[in-house]
Amino acid sequence: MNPEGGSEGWRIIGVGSPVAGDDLGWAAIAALKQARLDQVAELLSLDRPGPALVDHFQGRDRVILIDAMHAGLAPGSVRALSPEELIVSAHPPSTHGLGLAEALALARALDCIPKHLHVIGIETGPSLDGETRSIAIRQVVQLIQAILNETDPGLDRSTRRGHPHRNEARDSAILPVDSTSDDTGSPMNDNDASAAELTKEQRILNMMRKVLTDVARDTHAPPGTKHALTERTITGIRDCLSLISAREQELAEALGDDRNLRPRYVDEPRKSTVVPINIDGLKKKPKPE
Amino acid sequence: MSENREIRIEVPVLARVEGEGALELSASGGRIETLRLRIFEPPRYFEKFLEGRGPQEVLDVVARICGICPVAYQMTAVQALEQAFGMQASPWVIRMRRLMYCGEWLQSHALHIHLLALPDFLGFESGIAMAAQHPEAVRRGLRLQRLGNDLIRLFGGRSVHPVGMRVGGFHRAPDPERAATLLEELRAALPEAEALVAFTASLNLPQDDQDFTSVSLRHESEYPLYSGRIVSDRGLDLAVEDYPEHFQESHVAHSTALYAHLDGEPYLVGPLARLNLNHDRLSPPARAALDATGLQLPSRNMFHSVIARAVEIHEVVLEAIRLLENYRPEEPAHVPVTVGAGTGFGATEAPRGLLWHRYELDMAGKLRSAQIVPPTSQNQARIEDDLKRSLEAFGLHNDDDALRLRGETVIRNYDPCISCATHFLKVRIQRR
Repeated sequence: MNPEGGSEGWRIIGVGSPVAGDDLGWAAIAALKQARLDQVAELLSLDRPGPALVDHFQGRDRVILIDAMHAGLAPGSVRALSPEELIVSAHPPSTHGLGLAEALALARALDCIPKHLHVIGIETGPSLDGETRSIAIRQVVQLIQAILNETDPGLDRSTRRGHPHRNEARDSAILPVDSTSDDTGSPMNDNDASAAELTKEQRILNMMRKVLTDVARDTHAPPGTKHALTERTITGIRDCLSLISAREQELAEALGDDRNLRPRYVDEPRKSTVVPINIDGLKKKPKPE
Repeated sequence: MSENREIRIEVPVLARVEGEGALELSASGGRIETLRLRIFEPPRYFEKFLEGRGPQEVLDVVARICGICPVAYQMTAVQALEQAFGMQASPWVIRMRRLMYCGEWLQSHALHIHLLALPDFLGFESGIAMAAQHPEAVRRGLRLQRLGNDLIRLFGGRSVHPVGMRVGGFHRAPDPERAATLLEELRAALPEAEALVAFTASLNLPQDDQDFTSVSLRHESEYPLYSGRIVSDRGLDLAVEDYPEHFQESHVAHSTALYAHLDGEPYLVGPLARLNLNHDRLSPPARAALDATGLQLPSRNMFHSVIARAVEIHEVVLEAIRLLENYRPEEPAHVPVTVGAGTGFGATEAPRGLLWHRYELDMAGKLRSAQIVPPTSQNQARIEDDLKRSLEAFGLHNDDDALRLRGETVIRNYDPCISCATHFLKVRIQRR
């Protein structure tokens, strides 16, 4: 797949500015590059494009926009926003005040809204610390991977063709697949359909786990009250989750992935430490006369 | 509705202008008694921020005053700094600055005409509402704006708050291949820019002649953009450094922006003032397109500002093509600079009008003091004067909504940038 060409390809646009606070869209694009999504999509960072954003929709059916937002959420919160709701919220523009919502409203009026348009907002704010920011950017990458995979399940195979080295393909964040073996242990080649199946299996497992845990949470009964589910069903859910976890582990090992999805407590000692930097200390001091 | 009723109008938020401001007026007996253009956007203190800053920091900081006209602030600042250091930029640098400035006029005027002013004259609430009915007009505006941004980016690396300028010239000369590509795109857009002049002249614009003083730069041979003397249509002809002898800034209670007067009187800066004073400096093709419209100059009708902007778009597209056709990169793209103490002045024509700077620097080349007079603060007194005359001429018998819309339309003729001036508009109408 050629990331540059055709209306079929994805264009992912980080909106903002390189200045801290409004640079989350840009940071997300950098992370997507690092995750090698530039192999499967065109990545752009735009500096406060205003109405010029409309230009970047021309001839594209598939666009993802990423921007920092103020939505009253906790800093670092990541949300998939509805383009329609944004358009409804647009204000009459001024020369300086034509933001993302107004640009989308203009694109709608000009009938050039991409057929598949996703908008991802990252809550910003002065209290957004480095670690929360990193987590938010990782969530954006995962969200975009899911969007790309969902709308184009064959994407992983076509990407692999663009990579002569298999390990590089494995490193690709949208391609958690290995080329050395499939789940039967037999050799695979780049055109082997089982690579795509393997990824699909992971997605199925992930979705099943999510649905089962959602069912458990939604049917939670306070102590002393009767549970909505029978004991047999509860046991069945537990067994299913155990099987899913075991299978995910097998797949991860087959792929050589370092699976470290263990939950972490907020007060757990961290292996890395944040070194505070005194900006004033870095500035050049005037030499004594 | 009786014209003699007592009216009090307040427009608490002015749309399609930049910044926080409001319009308040009260009328009685068919006459406006008080009219205030209230500007309550907080002061931004840029002049104080500049104190103690070195030359490159000054160029980066002044670019932040405005996201639409950062080039104007940088160009004016660099003039003042170079004068203070007793140096002159090379003819190549001067040509390239003019070329970059063409980009800013093109993007700013294209955006104003198509998204801010046209809805007034075609009967829409906003550019977005207009886009569905007149998509080609809006698309034309977006194309021209993009070209302007591309020109700024050619020199500045980016179109918002560009970073390519330095005292003595530019950090680097633009890549000839990118310049050649842009030249072809500008050539392709030239018919569209020319047609825009006739298009704006064909609009059903209100006829409202008023008496006002036009002020702008005037260059010995060029349409004023980067340099010239300060002139008016009342015989004023000043060197840039003599500006304070005739122009005074003052505070008024209802505005956080300073008001400027010329010898105690309101005056006009901006596209119509420039065209009134410099239409003989237009290039022959721009002059021919203007003549074809039949517009008589000097014009006393502020609604002709939209035509003036279109003429200037045509002029800068022609000028940019001319400069790019002769483009040859020079390296280094700047002349050596020796910093030192001094006082410098700068004056250029921002898209919204005359922009004037005065800097005083110490031995290390750092700013001791700065004075920046942006176009919108110079136009404030004129806008109030215009509103009073326009609304009375329009007729106070009209209902509140009609008066409010006319008031906002008058204000938008000036394309005010309140953020630059403090920096604008909410309108409140009250009838007594």
